[in-house]
Amino acid sequence: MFTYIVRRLLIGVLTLMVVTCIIYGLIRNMPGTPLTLLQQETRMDFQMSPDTIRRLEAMYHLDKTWYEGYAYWLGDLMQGDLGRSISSRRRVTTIVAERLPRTLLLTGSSLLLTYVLCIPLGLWATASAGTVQERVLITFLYMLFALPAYVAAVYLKLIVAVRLELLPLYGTTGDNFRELDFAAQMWDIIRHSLLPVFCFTYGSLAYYTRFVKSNMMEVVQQDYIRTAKAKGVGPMKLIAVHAFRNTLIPLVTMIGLTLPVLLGGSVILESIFEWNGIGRLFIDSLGKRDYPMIMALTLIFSVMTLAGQLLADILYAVVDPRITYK
Amino acid sequence: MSTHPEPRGQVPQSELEAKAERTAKQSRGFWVSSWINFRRRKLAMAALVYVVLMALVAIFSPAIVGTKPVVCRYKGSLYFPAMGYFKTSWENAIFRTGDRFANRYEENLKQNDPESWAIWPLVRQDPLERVRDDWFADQSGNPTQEGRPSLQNLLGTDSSGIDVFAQLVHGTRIALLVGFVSMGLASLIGITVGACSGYFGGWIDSIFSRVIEVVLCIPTLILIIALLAIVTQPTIWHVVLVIGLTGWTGIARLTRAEFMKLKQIEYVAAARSMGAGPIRIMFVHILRNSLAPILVPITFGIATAILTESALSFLGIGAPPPTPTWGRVLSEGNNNIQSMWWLVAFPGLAIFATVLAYNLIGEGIQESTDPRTRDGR
Repeated sequence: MFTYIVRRLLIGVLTLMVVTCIIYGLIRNMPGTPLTLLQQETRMDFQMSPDTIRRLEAMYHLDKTWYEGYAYWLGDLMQGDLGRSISSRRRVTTIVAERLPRTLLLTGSSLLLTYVLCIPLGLWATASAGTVQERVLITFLYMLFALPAYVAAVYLKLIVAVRLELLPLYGTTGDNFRELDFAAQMWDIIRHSLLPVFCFTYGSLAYYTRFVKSNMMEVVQQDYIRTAKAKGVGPMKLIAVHAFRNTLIPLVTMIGLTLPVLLGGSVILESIFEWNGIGRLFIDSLGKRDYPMIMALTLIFSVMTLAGQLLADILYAVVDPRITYK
Repeated sequence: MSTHPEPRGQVPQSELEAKAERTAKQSRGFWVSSWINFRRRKLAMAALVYVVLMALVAIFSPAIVGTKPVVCRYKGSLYFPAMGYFKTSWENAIFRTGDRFANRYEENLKQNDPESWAIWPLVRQDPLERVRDDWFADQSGNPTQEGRPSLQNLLGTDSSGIDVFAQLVHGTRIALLVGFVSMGLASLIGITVGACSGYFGGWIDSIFSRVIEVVLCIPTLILIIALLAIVTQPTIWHVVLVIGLTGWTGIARLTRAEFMKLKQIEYVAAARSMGAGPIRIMFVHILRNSLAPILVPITFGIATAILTESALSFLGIGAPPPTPTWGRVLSEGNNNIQSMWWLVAFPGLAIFATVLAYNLIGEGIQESTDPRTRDGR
């Protein structure tokens, strides 16, 4: 197991280097550099003298070819330095640390809600398989799964925020946030995050509930369930204790695969709700050609994807004793 | 003895008949029985009907909505100017550069040639431009802003007065193009990569697996935006190409798994012993038997591709502005959400229904081709 993890980590580092190299090459070859884009701004304080431009170009290694620039970036990374954002001149790590809690608020609560709700729903659907209510629920969940999150987001904004005026249309906090006391601030954040959290949750909730149900339906047909039934185990205990424990295996491994979404957020949902999280930061940086920022976010996303896959494989071996890695 | 000669030596007639009966009752093939099973699923069939209908709408979109005549007789010859909606250069040059109609067909046709006649599309609205007052004698121009749904503009107009119904109908063509062409490309890459890495194994498999891992690790959006930024004037074809180039990993993984499973079955060994080469075994013998499970992620992939294109248009980085796509109309609805609900409701419904249909078909294929589930009920 230990050698397996070490080998996977080594391969992972290699994959990361290839990924970051490709991305660096791609974004450096996109038309426009952060400095030329800044020059197009009409505001006076962005107008730079040729000397300043040359100095900044040297500072961000823009005067070198992309592979030399990548080598510099890699060198800085080895020393734990992700660099400074070109457009705001602040440390990349500071900006990410500032944005991350906002994205985590959405993705974390959505993940929690999904897991808390999908298990009882899935179990209920198994217990009442074949009834009208179960059919209705499963069909409804299927429709939800096919409903794209951004379509749902715009619909919800239209109905809840514009027509009924129940919740704010967009933003992370209200305009008068600073003047509110603590309880009112909390309430303000909750009001603003309700719609985005819902949009983040419903799709995965639908998917996971169906997942739990289909796994349960398979387990319920096993011989040991019939044995338990023959021994006189009650229907609730049969499903909750005997059957459900065996469907936990695929469910646990799914946690690993949600890691990249957890930290990466969603570009499109954050854009729709003007939620200043990681996803929006990403698309803004792309527009500004803010190379250090894009590289840092790509790195986070790739590390999370790889770590998630590794975690899934390890969890698989932990919860299922039949699986061993060499 | 009869005067007729016996057909085949001494074989009696009755035995021949029995043999004919045996061959007549030959069991159904895999695809036929799958199709019969698929047809029993009402939802999947409804989805299939919807998709076929959408394809028809896409093909006949210029005849459904447009301001250019489908057929017209002008100065002694027949023209099909509506073809211009498929490709600008297909609109006959006489209307574009020769007599400079500038979309005002009705008036110009009458003025330049009193003998002319034209067959018009069902709804005379344009997906790219606002219909002006002087375009048609019996139809007033579109409102310049906030046109609610009305008899003239069935689904309303957007903020620049372009008819939404026209945009959605012509957007069907884009959705179809994106779905089929990009997934066709993705399946070509995915099946080839998956087949090679599953069949040969060894170092080929290691390399391809690493490539798949790298593509999975790169955020799809950054890859698409960066690739689109390379071309100076991205068209819808570039978007299609990029979605195809980034969306093949799922197909490749499944193909790989199928090939690894099937290459150990006896018929592959039999084919090899008869001298079949690896290409022949891979694409004639194994692929044919693994096509059903591979078809499932391809169908889901069509839904994802349409979704991705709409999302890109929504974010404003997809096809350039005059292209009528569902995502762009929805995005405009999002920007004008306070006042123009029809810009949200209708394109959203179009995207949802199409994605749902492809998902239903995908699941229908999965259930009707998998022997474990299809014979169970």
